[in-house]
Amino acid sequence: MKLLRPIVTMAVVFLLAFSVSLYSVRAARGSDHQDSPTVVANPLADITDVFAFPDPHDASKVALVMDVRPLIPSGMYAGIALDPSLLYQFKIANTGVTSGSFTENTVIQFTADSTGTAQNITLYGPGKPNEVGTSNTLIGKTGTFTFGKVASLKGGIKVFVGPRRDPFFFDLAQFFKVIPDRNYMNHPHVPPATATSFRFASKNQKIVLNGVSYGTAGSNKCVIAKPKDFLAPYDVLSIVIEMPKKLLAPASGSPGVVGLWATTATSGKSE
Amino acid sequence: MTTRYTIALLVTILAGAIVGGCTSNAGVFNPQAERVGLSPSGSTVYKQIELLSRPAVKEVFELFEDHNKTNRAEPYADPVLQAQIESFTLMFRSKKNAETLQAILYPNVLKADLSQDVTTASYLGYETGGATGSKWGGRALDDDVVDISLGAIFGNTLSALGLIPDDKKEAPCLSEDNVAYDKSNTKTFPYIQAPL
Repeated sequence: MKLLRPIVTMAVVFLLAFSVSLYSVRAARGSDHQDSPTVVANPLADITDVFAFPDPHDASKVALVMDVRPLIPSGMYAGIALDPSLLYQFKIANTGVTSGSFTENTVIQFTADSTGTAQNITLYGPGKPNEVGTSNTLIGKTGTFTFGKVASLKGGIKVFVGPRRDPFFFDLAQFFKVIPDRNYMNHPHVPPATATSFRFASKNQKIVLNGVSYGTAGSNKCVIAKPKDFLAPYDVLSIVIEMPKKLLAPASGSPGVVGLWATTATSGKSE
Repeated sequence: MTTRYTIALLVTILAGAIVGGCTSNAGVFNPQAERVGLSPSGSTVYKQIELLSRPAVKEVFELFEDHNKTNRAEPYADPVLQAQIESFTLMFRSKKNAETLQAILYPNVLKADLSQDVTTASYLGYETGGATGSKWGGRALDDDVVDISLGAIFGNTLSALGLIPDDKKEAPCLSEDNVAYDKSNTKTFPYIQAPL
């Protein structure tokens, strides 16, 4: 019995620690990264951010980034890879944007062949979509590459899919105090707001917006506390593609103004 | 016996906690329910369940309960978001502010001018003629999209750009979140900092 006592003590301690860790992970959920019950239930379908920028060394190339799988705790990304039942897709309108037409006429698609980080990923396009709208099939294959490694494909295309540090930064915890509805964990019984201010480090912090002074944090009665980037300790899965801009040009013409967005779509096959 | 019972109880609770933690959202996402089958040509048909374009637009303006529906829409066919950009803004600002934000942010697509021969992007740079840093537009990894968005909603950005008169309803405590960018992205592909 005496031998069992320390075991019980250890078990209790472990249970408490484990319960706290479970609570922490669950409590960490609730960013704008998790914006619907569907993606909360399937985080590999959850798009956290979209970026579009020129190659910093070559203005003739454009890079697109889609981040998925939010809130991977620091050091915990091993084994996390794309969902083979999903289609990850950039959609691009490259004609008529300046006159208000945003119908996609170019798509870039990614699928994975298996679960886990040994997966191979196939790139389709960029090319004309088979369908416009929210139900899509795959277009012509461009090439296949390995998860976690930079690859060069035909047409001057570079690709990468793998874990990266979440580049987004936001005092999300304070935002949820201001607008509690946006935290999925608050549903269906959304509590009232508990703050009307973001956090300011000092009451003497000057607030200057576009060159106009609005006094100090103290004079505006803002919340005085240390601001915190909620996303700082987390990783995501990044899907990155860089290509010559001409691949996103209209069928007959030069690259111009584009409108773009990212989607995930399910084949309905098991996760 | 008591000790054995306690251990058994702990194991049971622990197992329950694991199962509970892993399946707390079970039933919400059901791939079979989402299945759309094959196209007439036999190709797998994928059905959209998630959408993202401009950052912090749906997340700020749109009620959470509507996301599951609008995530399945095209960004140019989303009257729910279109209406809520205006209704949300009207809670704080003038009608002119609300209408202007709606005109800028809907349709909800990220715009970039690929004809610009530059090597820097800047969020809302196309829409503002380069006022946010670059006419290329798009979105750079280190763009402070939160402060840009908060400045437009709660600050004086729209009037400072000369788009509308100042309604004098700025909320300085909500116009910036005071979080600085501190992530070490690189100048080489794939650009984003390695995982932690």
